[in-house]
Amino acid sequence: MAVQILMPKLGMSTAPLTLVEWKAKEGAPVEKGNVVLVVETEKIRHDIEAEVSGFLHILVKEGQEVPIGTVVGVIAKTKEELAVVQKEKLKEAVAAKVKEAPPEEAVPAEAAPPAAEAKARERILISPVARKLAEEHMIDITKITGTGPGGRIVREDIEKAVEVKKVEVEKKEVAPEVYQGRRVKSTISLKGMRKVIAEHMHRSLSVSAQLTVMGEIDMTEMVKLRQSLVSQEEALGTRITYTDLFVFVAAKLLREYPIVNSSLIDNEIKVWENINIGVATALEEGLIVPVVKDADKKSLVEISKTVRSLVQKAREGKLTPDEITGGTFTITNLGALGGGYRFETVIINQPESAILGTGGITDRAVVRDGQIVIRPIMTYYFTYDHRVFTGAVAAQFMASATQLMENPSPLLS
Amino acid sequence: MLCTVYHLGLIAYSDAYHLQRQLLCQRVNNEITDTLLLLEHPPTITIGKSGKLENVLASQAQLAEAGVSLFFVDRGGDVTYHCPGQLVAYPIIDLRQRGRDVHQYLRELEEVIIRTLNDFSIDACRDRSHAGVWVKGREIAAIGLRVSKWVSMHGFALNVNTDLEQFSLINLCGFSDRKATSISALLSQDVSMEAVTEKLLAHFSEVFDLQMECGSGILMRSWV
Repeated sequence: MAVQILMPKLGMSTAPLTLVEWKAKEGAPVEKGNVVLVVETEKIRHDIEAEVSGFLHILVKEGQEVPIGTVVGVIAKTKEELAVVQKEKLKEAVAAKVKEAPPEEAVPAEAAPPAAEAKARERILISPVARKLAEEHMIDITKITGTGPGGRIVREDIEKAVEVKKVEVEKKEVAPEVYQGRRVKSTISLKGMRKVIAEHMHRSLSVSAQLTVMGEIDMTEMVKLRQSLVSQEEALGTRITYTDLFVFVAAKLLREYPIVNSSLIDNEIKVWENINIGVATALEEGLIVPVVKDADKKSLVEISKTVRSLVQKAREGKLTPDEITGGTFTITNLGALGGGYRFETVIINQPESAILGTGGITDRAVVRDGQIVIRPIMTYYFTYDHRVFTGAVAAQFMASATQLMENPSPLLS
Repeated sequence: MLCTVYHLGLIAYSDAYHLQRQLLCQRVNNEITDTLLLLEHPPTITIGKSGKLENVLASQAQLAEAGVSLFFVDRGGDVTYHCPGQLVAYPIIDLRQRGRDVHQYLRELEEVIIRTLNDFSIDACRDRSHAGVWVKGREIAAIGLRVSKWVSMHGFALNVNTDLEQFSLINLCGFSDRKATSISALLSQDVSMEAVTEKLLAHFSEVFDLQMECGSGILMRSWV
């Protein structure tokens, strides 16, 4: 059965609303939970989400003022149903009132002489597509030169501006400046991503009680496992990396240690149902943490493909807000950056309660059964929030992680 | 219930917008508390979705020369103007917890402003046909909102020590006969932003029944 889309009541008021924009075209597929319609009342724009997935059939066009309760559209469950509703003349619950556009200002009886007309102020001209794009990317119109007829701003002008915005690097060269006895080489203003990272890191440390457990893991079995997976690259459809494996392992462990997958918010510890693992990704401008959602419900191959796609998008600056929010735990594989055997401290990504950092895998001399042997060793640094759980829990978590990585057969089942 | 307040100082319109979108996402997911951003913008004209370019009275060249920016914005309302001396407030509030009544929310925002103005002996009122706050027929505070997944963004701009001459660049709210006013214009003396902010926060807390807490710096995850 097709589902009706009604003009909603947005509170106590019964005033009609203006149907401003359909977010999908006639007949297009819509997904449950996605915004399908925007309405406006007074000075409020309100998004309306689709209640079901299906195909949209529009009954009332954009720009009309519509009373509450009017059926403005229908979501058909199947294409066949769509064809049926498109043919049907559905009787509207209440006839939609069409609001007239405000009348044009009255033209004076005596027409102004042509010379005066020519002096009319130059208006800013912009195509509707360019306007929409400018709005999407928050482009300052006064900085754009229109290349369309009469200086009209067209889509290409905005697209160019969007590209430029991405490439922009702020760096002020200051004439020899001396600050407290030191000569300034260059001044980089703390803006954009750099400022955000600075604020976030500082706040993270001041808000939580962060301690770090550090250790080593014998990666002999993991190296073998990874080599075998890499040799199956074609069959799997993806090249498995150590980061993919760490996400996979962490997802399993977080199921067993739910307290590690939590957040302290408003004096309450929220233990999350979802296991959304962020993968810290270094960028030229700094750092970003795209999130693999529901990592525990994904296979290793799915994780690998997701991570690859997110990292690619991060490098291109194309991550959406949805892809960088909602994380419950973070992994930062610093070994990927090279540098040999070392230990680091890592900072929790608020409002999570823990972060796992891993170093490079290097051959080290270790003792096994009273003998000195060479094994591939990886250092780890697990920072946790002591307001949420204790060092004992942290130690147990990492003991399990170590155990799992040194004996990965449970992972392969 | 808690509300975290951030004083952002002078911040470009586009930066504040991106920040709001980030915070809105986090509020929808219950990762953060209700949040209130307080700030000022450099000279900026913004045009809402239903706004018309005809209501911008200067040419692109004139605006560029005057150092005025222009953005199209996905908020309700027509054209408005922002500049230093104007207290801009962007509350990111979860309306799911407030009965999902956007009209009520709008009225409450107006109430906060009216009570604040009362503290400065200014008698302000609403115009039922036109959201905003008015004194003797002139607009002292403009309001424009967007509600997405029942969380609000954008908000209002209250003219404190605003240079009212600059409003001649636009037809305020799309009307050629509407004029703007400010606290300092009405009182014939400058008033500090701090004094107004203090009163505003107290009334915001009262009207929305929220405990205001100052956030240190900007809370957010990395954003592009």
